[in-house]
Amino acid sequence: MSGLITSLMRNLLGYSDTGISIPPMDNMFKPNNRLEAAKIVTRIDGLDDIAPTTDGFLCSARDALLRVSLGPDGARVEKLDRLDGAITFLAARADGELALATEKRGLRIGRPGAWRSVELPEDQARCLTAGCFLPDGSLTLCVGSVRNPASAWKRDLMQHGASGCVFSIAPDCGSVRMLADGLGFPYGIVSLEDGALAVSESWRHRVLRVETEAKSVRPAPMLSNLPAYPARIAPSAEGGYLLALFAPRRQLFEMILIEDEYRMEMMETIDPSEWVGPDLRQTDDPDQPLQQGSVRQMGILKPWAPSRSYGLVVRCDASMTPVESWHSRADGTRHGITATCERGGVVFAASKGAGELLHLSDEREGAQ
Amino acid sequence: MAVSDMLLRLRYRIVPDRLFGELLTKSWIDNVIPVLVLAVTVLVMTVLIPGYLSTGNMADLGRQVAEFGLIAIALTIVILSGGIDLSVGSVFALTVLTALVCMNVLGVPIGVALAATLGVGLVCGLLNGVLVGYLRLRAFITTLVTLVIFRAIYDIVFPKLASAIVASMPSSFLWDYIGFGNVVGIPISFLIFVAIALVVHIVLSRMRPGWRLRAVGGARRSAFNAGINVKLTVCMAYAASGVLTAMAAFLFSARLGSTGADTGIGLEIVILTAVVLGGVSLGGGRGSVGGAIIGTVLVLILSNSLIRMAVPGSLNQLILGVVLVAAVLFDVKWVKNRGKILSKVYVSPTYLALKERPRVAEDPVLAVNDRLGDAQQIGVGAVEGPEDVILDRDGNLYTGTRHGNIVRFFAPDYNTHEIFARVGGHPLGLAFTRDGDLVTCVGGMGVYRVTPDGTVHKVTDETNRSALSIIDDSRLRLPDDLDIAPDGRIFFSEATIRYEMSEWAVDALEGRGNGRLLCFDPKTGTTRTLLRGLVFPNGITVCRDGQSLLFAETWACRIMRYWFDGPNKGKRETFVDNLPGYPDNVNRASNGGYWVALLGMRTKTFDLAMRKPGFRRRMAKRIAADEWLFPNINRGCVIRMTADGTITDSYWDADGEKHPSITSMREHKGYLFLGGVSNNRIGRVRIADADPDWTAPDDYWGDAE
Amino acid sequence: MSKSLLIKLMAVAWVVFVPFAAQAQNKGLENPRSTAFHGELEGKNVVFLPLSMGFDLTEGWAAKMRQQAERLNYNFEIRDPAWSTDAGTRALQSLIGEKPDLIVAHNPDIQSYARLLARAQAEGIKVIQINLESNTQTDSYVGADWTEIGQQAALAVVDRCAEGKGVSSKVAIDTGVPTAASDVFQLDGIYRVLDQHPEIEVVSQQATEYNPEKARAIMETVLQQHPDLCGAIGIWDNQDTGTASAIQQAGKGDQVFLVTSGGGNMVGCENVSKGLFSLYISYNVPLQGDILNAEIARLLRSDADAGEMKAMYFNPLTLITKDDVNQRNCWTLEDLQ
Repeated sequence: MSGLITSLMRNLLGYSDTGISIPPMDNMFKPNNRLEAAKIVTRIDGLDDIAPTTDGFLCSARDALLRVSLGPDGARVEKLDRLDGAITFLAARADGELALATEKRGLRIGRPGAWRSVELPEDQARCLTAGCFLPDGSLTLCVGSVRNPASAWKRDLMQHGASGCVFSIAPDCGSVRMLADGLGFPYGIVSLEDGALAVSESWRHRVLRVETEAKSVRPAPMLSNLPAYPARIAPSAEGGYLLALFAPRRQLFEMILIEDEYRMEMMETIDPSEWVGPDLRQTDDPDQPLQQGSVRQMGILKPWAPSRSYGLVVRCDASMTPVESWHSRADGTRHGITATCERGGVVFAASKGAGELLHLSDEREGAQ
Repeated sequence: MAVSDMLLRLRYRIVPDRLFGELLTKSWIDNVIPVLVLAVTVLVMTVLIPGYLSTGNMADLGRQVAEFGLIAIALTIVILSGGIDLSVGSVFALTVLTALVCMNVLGVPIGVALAATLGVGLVCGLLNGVLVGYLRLRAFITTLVTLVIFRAIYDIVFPKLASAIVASMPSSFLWDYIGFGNVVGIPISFLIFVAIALVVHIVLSRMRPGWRLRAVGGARRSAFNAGINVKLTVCMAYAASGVLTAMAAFLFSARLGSTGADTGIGLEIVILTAVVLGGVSLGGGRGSVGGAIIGTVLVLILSNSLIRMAVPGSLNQLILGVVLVAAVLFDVKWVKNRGKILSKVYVSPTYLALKERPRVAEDPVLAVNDRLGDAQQIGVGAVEGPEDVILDRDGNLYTGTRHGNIVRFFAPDYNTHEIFARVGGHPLGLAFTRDGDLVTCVGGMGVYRVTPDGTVHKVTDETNRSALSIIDDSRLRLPDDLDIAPDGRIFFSEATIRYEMSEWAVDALEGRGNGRLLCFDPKTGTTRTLLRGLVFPNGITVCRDGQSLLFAETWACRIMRYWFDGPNKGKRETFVDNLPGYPDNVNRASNGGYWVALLGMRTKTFDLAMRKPGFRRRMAKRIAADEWLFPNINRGCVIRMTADGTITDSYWDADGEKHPSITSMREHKGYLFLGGVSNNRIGRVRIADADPDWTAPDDYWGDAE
Repeated sequence: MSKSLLIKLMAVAWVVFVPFAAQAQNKGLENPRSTAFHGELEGKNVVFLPLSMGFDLTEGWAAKMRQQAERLNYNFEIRDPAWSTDAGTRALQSLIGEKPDLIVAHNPDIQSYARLLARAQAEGIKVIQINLESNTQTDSYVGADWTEIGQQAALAVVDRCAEGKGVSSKVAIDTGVPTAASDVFQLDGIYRVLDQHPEIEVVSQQATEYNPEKARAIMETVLQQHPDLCGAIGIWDNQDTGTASAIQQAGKGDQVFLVTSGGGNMVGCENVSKGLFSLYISYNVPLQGDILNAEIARLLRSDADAGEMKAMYFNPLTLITKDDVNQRNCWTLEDLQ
């Protein structure tokens, strides 16, 4: 009751309850349907990360490492290896050397069939979310969180996780050097023109610039206030970058993140698949939480309805300023884009939510 | 956890948060704050000034209130019309002069003097009225100019007559009586004032001239478009102001017997203060006589008390000026923010705990299947919002749409349809009487009956008002479903009394028992409320014993049984509890049991939210309505249960494209017809083990005569 | 008796009686009237209801009354209606309810408080009216005789502006509040004299409501219409500063004979010295204050009922011209406090 009276007085005096606001999808982020309209290259269930090779891609999908070759008569998918658990990231060096990690056994470097394990502390090894080879041969890695494994990213979000870090391993598996820590789930890493690194910090919805040389310099934000959670970053032609964003931000989710009592009880008593929060795909399960605007009216789900998942790929220029974007909205299926890759001037996106590898058309081709 | 839950439950049962929001919806709420301020001021003054509440003091106050109050009412009338009258002070002075000249100088009888005074006031008011009403000049500037003109006239005439006025005193008994007389200690002028105030209040609030006045003040263009003669109304408002001011002047002259050069100077400011303090909005259209009187009393008490406490005169004026500024500021903020406050404060969620239940997927009876996947689609896009479906003896299908029509699909293939009747609102529940009339609950309107030839008659749109409810619950806001007892009585549910049809989703967020069960008796033609405080009562069906009925309480996920006749009359018990979803309509099945439509499924997160009322309140205030957590009504199903409440099977649309949410189902000759309030089609599906000859009219009324 | 016994007796008498003799000096007699005078008034309530506080007349009277209240130990209070007749009426009405022992009333006009003062007397409250009368006569009146002031002012003007004496025979009159005692009775006095001198022409008679700005504007207009104005009669020095400034601005300070009246404040006297006023009729506020105090003391001690015996005193006037501006005729507020 006192809350009502204080809110009455505050309203009378002109203060309004500060709402929970998220950046609107505007300007370069104006929603469109380009992801839905994109051509599909191939269907791979559980597709997560992609790395370019000379004649195609390498993809990680669940526990399998696959090679996708692009030929005149379509794409050919070939299984290269099956590992002991879900692969959490995949990176490829120009000379064909690969790096990947699984939750159970941690980091491996080498080639299929000839893997060398790299010893890392267990709490880091089980949550390696992204990696990138630097020109000098060293491997930089993102650890999403030291408190939760990679598959428990939802729990880390709900716990306001800020235990992620970025480190580099010298070539020949030498020393490990910590470049930045205390990050909120770093989920993408790419090297910039000047030798520094761009790291996407998901829970703080921004992209940071991490210095490789001087460690005392704190990471500076390059692109912040994103309307969705950023995932892996890939280099693009003409010095730009491609940013995949795997799940949307919503007012309700932001509110849950500050409502401690509700959130704690939700985490303790309810299965993570039924939590109120972002997800990689829409589920048809009747046990799933719903938002009022997502109710189907007259048989139609409006594209702007609030949804738990969303498909978003953004191309940025060299200074990480967005220049164009591809969307898949509430009424689409190609959500949960976790990785992108540009090869031969064409952009490819991995939609984990739909399990599809997509060929994104360019603006010049005029498809909207 | 359990203790804190119990405390939470207790807190929400005892403390009635909803009252605050409901009070804010009332139109008289604007007066509450001035009354409170008045009460506080009187209290303070009684403490500071000994002997404040003596009869003599009150009688004096009464006389002053009489004069000030009449002018305050005059100004209220003008402000209600959307204008302002700054010339009241000068009109007051002129009419005082008229009254004194008539009585003291000319010595005419008191009746003539009264007529002359009121006449002068009328002329002054009409001048204002013609300038502002007919010539469309701005009220502020115009009355400012007439203020100057009238005062100039007064300044010219008064000195010439001054000596004559003060030289003699009239010898009229009535004159003295008005000025000084008391009846049982109450001054005569106060009684005159009360009589006039009552008349004006009744005219303003309950009669057409008053409504027209408020309409013109509140929204001039709309009033014009509605056919109100705006110019005449405005002119009459100023004329009324002039006459009332003249009456006040008459009382003043009787009391004082003389006038000075400063009569009426600054009066408009004091009266304006009083009127604004009393809650009359300067923007027009809002205010009342009561408010003006409260403001007058407040201002008089304040200024009298300040003089009484020997406060220097200039400080007196300063204090009154500060009070005026504060009152105007408050008024502006209140008007601007009242709607906003109301919308934020009205939603008052409460604690609702549902029992735990296992996941739907793990229950063999309730697991998702696709039995409705290939339902025949009827009327896709032709009907929008078919909440309930019903079939007559010939097998024709009827349903209500959100365009206010009842649409009939023709048997046997239902490919053709026509509009059977135009009712209005959104017809929801449907039922056939013994004679074949279609009775329907129309959301937003009431219960209506359609005869077989398509003529619409009203059955009822009101019920008895409960004494303790702040909301006027004699009106029906959301009558949802109905059923007809063997003796013709119509039992129907009203889902919620706090929200309109368009906001039913907010009631889900509240989880309060805002609904009720009503009964219309055709023998007496009246409707009575039987049960109150039900949690969104929805589907109703009369049991086969003819003495009890089942009703669904949607957000509580249960179906209750209520006996309305027989030895158990009045008894209410739970029929089936802890349903996996939210029950909407309940109808009879051919195997002796019942069909229940679950319009959505329970989700753990929403169940948790129902146990956290504070969370829901913050959610309602802080984030947009589109983003609120909601029950999953994108997936619904139909369940069939036996006559004792055991669920035997469930029917789903697996991918949720055709029938995501089902609000009603009817069995007819082996088929099940499906309706959904957010859908744009009706579905028909064959039920394998249903009696192929069974129809509802036969089950209810036996064979046709 | 032996000589030694006599000497011893005398010694004893000396020892016994001398101290008595030494103490028994003449200490005088207690004056019961003085004791009564200083004691009887204790705890009584006197309320002053002026036109308004904040100008010389009322501040002067209030200072005097306060002095006596402190000296004789009774309560003195002021209710200030700030020039509003309506507020004053309401204050008087509430005073009637409160029943103080004595009200000192300053009437805005002769009718407004009339009935109320009669009621106050009926309720047993003693009333003194100061300087501005009403139609009701109460226990006492102390103040100027306005008729007399009017006559004196008119005589002075006639003296100056009669046939052949001044530049013309035109006279302007500015009044204050048409229904106040200062207006109605003063005009009567003025016209009694002027009626006997028909050659004097009254070219303007307007009310200024005690507002110097209005007085100035009126005189400015009059001078434009009648540049050969000879005399002007104003009813109060505080407002006639405006009249005077209009005359000075038109450069007719020597031509126009301005008569005014007031309480005799030093400011008014200085205006006379400066030549703004040609004749100043003073009703002498300190003198009025003293008489007022005497009446207050008398009435408070009197056993008579309120209104039973009605007294009045019109105090003598002092005519001040440039030559007799002096300390005795002119007062400042500091002198009185």
